Amino acid sequence: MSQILKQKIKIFSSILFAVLIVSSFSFQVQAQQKENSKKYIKLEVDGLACPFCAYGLEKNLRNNIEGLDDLYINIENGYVTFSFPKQDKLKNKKLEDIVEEAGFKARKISFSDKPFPKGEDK
Amino acid sequence: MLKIKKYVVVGSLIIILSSTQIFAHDPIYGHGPDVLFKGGLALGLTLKSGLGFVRNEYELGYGVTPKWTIGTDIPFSNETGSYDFDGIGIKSKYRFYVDYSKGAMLEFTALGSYKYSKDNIKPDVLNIGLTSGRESVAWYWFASVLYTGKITNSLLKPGDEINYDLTFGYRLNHINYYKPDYVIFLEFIGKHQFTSKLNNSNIARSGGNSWAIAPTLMFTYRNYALRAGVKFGIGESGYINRPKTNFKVSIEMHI
Repeated sequence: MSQILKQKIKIFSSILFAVLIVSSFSFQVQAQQKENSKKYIKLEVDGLACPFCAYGLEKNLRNNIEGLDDLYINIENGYVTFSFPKQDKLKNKKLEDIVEEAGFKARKISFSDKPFPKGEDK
Repeated sequence: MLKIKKYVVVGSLIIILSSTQIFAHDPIYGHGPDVLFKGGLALGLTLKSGLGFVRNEYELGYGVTPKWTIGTDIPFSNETGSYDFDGIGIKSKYRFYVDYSKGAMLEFTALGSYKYSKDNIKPDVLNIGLTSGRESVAWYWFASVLYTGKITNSLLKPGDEINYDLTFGYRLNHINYYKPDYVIFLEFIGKHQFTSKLNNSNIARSGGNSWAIAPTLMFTYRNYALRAGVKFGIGESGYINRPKTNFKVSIEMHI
């Protein structure tokens, strides 16, 4: 009896392990697909000196860029990173205007297909 | 129709010309050059209290453009006896110069305000001035000068004033957008009051100078700010008294 129970447990464990492996792989693929469907931007911004004021930049970016995600603001090093859907077009002029309307100045804009590394301070 | 247009033009001019204290992270007693982001709305409540008086101000500010902010405040106080509505103020700031650099900003701003008094006991007050400041991830300074005109139909006209302030600030923590932020300030506040007039004649024993200092603290987290400070009178000359010790607390939210 106990032999049968042991065998059942072994089979169940093997199935569970296999399911975990497959789902983990599936999640990885999904994450990769999600990452591939996005474009990443790094905005280097002059004038960022206060968290309270930087809220205006967050609000303006969220209000003006559809599908904006992964927003990260690093005041100490003066930059903002975020992602947006790859199929959308986003021009430098629009980004410069958004930063200006928040009361700051865009110094440099970089685009990438991969996420920009975040600072240590989050 | 023409009369309505005239009121709109005059009202607009007052708003354009028109002190603001509750816009972004300006000093709590003095003034600063910060303006709101375009479309930004600031909601604020300030409580000021000292020996025998309490004053609350409900404030609202709006960022018309990234350079121009308008606002209003509605004060309630017991300075004239019972606690009551104490007139209404309109105010405006226009930032005409900014020098941006990485982690810092130098600003120059024109500011103005007009406070309508609810009765004839106090005069209406017009403020026009200039304010400047530099803020960085570690240090702050602000410097301002304002002309304050008193407008009244009464035979007794209190002397107009020149108000000036100089503020230094230091951030106590490592700056991080996602964490609470603490900045301490030390404000120096000065006032020169011209002689008062009675029936258009100067009152000999009136006018003078007074000075005060105010250590203050600003706490912010994302779009919420809490500021508090205590003002101590430190000197006087002529015929006016140094300011009485009082404290001020303000909460503000940007949306």
